Amino acid sequence: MPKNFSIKIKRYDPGTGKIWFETHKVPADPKLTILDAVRAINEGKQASVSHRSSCQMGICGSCGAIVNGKPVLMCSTFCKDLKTPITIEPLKNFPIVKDLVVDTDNAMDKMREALPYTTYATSKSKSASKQTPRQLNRIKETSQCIKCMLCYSACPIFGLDKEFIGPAAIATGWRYNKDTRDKITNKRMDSLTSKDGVWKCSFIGECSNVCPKSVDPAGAIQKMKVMGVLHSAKSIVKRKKK
Amino acid sequence: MKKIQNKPGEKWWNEKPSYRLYYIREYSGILIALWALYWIGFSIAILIARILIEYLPETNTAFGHILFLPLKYYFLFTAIGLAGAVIHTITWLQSMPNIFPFRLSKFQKGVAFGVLILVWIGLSAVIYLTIRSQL
Repeated sequence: MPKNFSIKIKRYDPGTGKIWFETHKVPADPKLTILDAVRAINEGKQASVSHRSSCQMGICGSCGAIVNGKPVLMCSTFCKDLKTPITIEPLKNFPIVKDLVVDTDNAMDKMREALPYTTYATSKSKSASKQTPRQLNRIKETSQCIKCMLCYSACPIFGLDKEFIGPAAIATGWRYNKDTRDKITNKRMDSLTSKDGVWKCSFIGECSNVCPKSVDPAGAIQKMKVMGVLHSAKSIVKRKKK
Repeated sequence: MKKIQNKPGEKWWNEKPSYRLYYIREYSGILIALWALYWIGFSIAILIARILIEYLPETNTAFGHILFLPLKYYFLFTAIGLAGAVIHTITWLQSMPNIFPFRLSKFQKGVAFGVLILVWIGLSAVIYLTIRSQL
């Protein structure tokens, strides 16, 4: 391990519109994460690099950034595992607000379109809703999504077409569609299988590669495409009956 | 406060090995499509030639250039198709992280990959030998 880690950070000043790379040296430590390194740069060198972070343990999903070309959570990426100089950039496919802070509103709106709740959660019933371990297992993987937006950053389709609903929203939609307590599957399917829904995915698969929680959005999208075909067929039959 | 857009560049497909792999996977499908078109065309040509030879023997020379192409060209077309099929299989399997509803172990993935390659090679051999026996 080297004595110092060389950290190269992409900066953006919204006041002047200037973009530049800044290199700093941080004393090497095997336990040092990228987030620690950014904080050390801010504290020790008064660099005031704007960034987002909260839990520091890979749960809140707020510290996403592109590190050495790959979207990662800064708090769970160790400097010792990376090639130096370590390059830190803001997440791709999102407008940059300042330095490493990006505006994820567009993707958050897409998450809302996936109706990420069950009817149980919105009903006034106070009775217990039972779910067997087997039923829970079916949605366990996709339930792990922390909305960190790394999949949106890795998806070139979302980058090129902002109308695409995106990987996390579909994975979340899949999770609630498969929830046995849910009663609004059809409403959710209308939004997920619309023209800006699952059909725009050309299965590059990078969303699953970068997911820090192994949610596998690419897999959820492919399964959702099958559900979408069945949903469309059902809608046509229903329309003809009327 | 002015935000700047951070869209993928014109050469986004060249930024990551996984993106390049995606394009190789997609374009290797063209080789397979060409291969399929070639065989469909060739089969129709043989069928028409045989009918003509049977009923109008004086016109058979019209299809002579198809029927009597040197064998090395057929071998070349088959080899191109086989290469495309193998590339497509490899890149497809590599670019789908976990899309199955069930999980495959490394050994099971290896077996699936081996079987697919054997199928492609077997199919190519059958087609090549069939043509060879026809000429």
